[in-house]
Parts: sequence; C-alpha cells; structure tokens
Amino acid sequence: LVGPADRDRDRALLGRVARGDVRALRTLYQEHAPRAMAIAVRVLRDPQEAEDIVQETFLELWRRAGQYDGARGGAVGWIVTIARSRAIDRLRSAGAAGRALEGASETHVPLTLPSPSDCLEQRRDQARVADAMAMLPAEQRQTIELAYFEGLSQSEIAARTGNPLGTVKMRVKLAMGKLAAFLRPEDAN
Amino acid sequence: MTCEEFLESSAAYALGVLDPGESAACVRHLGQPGPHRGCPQAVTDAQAVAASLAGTLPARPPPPQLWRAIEARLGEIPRDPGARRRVWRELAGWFVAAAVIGFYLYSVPLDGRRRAVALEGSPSVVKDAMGLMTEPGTRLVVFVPRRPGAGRATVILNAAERRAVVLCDRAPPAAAGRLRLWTARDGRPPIALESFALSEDGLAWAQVGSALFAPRLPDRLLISADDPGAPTPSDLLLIAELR
Repeated sequence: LVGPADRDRDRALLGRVARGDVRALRTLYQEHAPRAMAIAVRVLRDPQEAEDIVQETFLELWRRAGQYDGARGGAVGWIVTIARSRAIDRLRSAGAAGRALEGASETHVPLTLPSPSDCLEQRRDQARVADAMAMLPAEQRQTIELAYFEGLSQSEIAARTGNPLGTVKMRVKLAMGKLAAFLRPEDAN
Repeated sequence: MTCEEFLESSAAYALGVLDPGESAACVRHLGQPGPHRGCPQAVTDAQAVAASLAGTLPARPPPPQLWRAIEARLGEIPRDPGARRRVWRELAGWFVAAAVIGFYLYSVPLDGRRRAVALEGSPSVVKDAMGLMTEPGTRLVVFVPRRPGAGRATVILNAAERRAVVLCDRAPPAAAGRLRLWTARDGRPPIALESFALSEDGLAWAQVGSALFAPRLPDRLLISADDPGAPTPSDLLLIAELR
C-alpha cells in the first residue's frame, strides 16, 4: 500500500527527523499517529494506555530515525510495527496477557468498515485490506486476527481455538500468502 | 535450518507468532552468511503485509495534548553523538562508582556522611541502585553470559519493594541501539519487559518496577539485543537465575 513516491517522501522526512527537525516529526505524527493510536487501542483496549504507547512510539522514532530503511516499507509500516510491538510488550509485562488470552473472544472487535471521517486515500487502503481479510476463509481470518491484534503465538492460538498446532501454522502461512497476493501493488501484478 | 524450512516459517516469523525455539532458529538462519533463497526479502514482504493489517482499523486521532507531551520530552533524548558520548562517559564513571559503592554499602554498616557523599550528583538510576542496596531483603544476582563478548550485568532486586535495577557493562552493539529485558518461567515463553538504551561504550541500565514481580518473581531474567516486534529474544546475551 506504500508506493515508491511515498517511500521517498518518508525517507526525506525521516532524514530530517534524524537531523533533529521537530517539524518533520510533527508531520509524521499528524499523518500516522491515528494509525498508531488505532492499533494500540485495539491491542490494549485502553485509550489512556494507548496514548502512552503512541508517545513512546514517536519518541523512539525521534531517537532512531537515522536507522530507517526505505527498502523495508513506508514509515507508516514502521510506526505501526513499533506501536504494536510496544503495546504487546505492555500487555504482557503488565500481567494483562491473561486478560487478553482469556477475554479476547468476548471483546473481539470485528473488521470495521471505513469511517466517513477518514480521508479518501486512507479509506481506500482500509477498504482494500478489509477486503483482503474478508476474502480469507473464516478460520484463517480468525487466526490472523488472534495473532496480529491479540499478540498470541501459534501455540497460544492452538490452545485458544482447540486446533492442532500444525493446523494453526498452516492457516498462518496460507493466510499471509493470500494477503500478500491480494495487497501486492497493482503495478507489480 | 535450511532456506526451504525458513521460508515455510517466514510469514509466522514476521508476524511474531513463532514459539521461542522456532523464532531463535529463524534468527540464526537469517544471521548465517548467504547465499539465501530470498529469506530476508520474504521477511520484509511479510512484515509489510503484517503492518498493513492495522489498516483494517478505523484511524483514531490522539487527543491534541498528546503531541505537546511528546514535544516536551524530545529534549530529554540526546541528539548530538558527541554530546551523547560525553554524557555516557560521565555516567560510566558513576556506573563503576555505583557498583563499587553499592557493594560497599551492602556489605558494611552505613556511615551517613559517606553515603551522602556517594549519592551526591549521581544519576537517578544509580541513586535507586544504591538506595536499594540499603534495603533489607535486597539481593544481587550476577548474569551469566550466553556467549563470548555478551558483556556482563548485575541485577539488584528487592521483592518486598517490588523494585529492581539492572546494570550492564561491555554489552555488544545492538542493531536498534537498545537492549531488552525478558522474564522467563519454566515451561513458558519469555515475556518482554521494557527496552533500555545502550551506550556506544556498551553501558546500559534499567529501573524495573512491579512488572518484574507480577504475579511473582520469575525463574530467570534475560537480556537480549532489542528487536522491536520479536516475540522472543532474538539475540540472547545474558541470563540471571533468580530462583
């Protein structure tokens, strides 16, 4: 979902951040903090803790901007990855893993349609990923959601769903392969 | 692990859902000199897919005051490498002093004046370390390196106070410039605690709160190079047996 032009722009912005340009950081924040906030809230289910995670994420971006590798995707992917990682760390270190492991099925948040307030481009991307997820068989989609949004390992997913570990592994592999094929940029098809 | 075996697991590795042993095997494979059959690229591609999954969530703008809070903290983070080295050198002196003084405070009866001199001007983490040394029930556990050149570290912990300080020295450079603490209990995957900055001189320290003791003291404390997103320690450096 991130084209070469976006990557070039991200590289330029992160280069400025690495040199200490607060305005460049603010630009990245304005563009991507809502995504970081969304994933943090989804993982932690607590807006206040999610705000802490967003703060940590952008401070880490400030510290590590010089390490950005444009070949590994756009800034939004990097930011979302940091935010998700920090949120899962917090979930586990706070002893809340049990809450997630036991309560996720009750608090499971299904895929959502794009919000009307989102900008057109975001809505298009959101709809595209949602379409890709919707195309997956239900059990593969559930496996990916438990892995990505709940931070469960394959073994934990197997325990949660009552499926053999080998089945879970196969579902992860198949689902990720299908998503990659579906989300591949048009010009790569 | 062969490239074929790695490629079977690359998506799960990128998604962070592998169990500890499998994840470590993947890390070792990626660290092997080539030729690979597209292994690093497979991880990069899968990571991009994983990150795009967040796009299924409606964007959620943070409250306006959050940016101000971030901006206010930017000054705490050193930007100038030269300045950073100077700060670390200064702190390095305190690190050594803390280890020596801490041991001294721990092993001999306290002299109020001597303690005051020792504490004066030290950074907060060293103060915390030395403060812990004087508390009843404080333990000092030395980490065991997992490989040559993994550095050395000590944890000063007090279960009653639910506080601990980890002091590292001579740690090898980490890709992300940070180390990460993990707790481990027998038969369960490690759980990540916070990451902490690693100086260019291989020095690092962390203050750990109640997370370390919840719900009880773990069997082991691990230190690895920080690899954001990795569900398990990808480059395990040091282990402390706490039980």
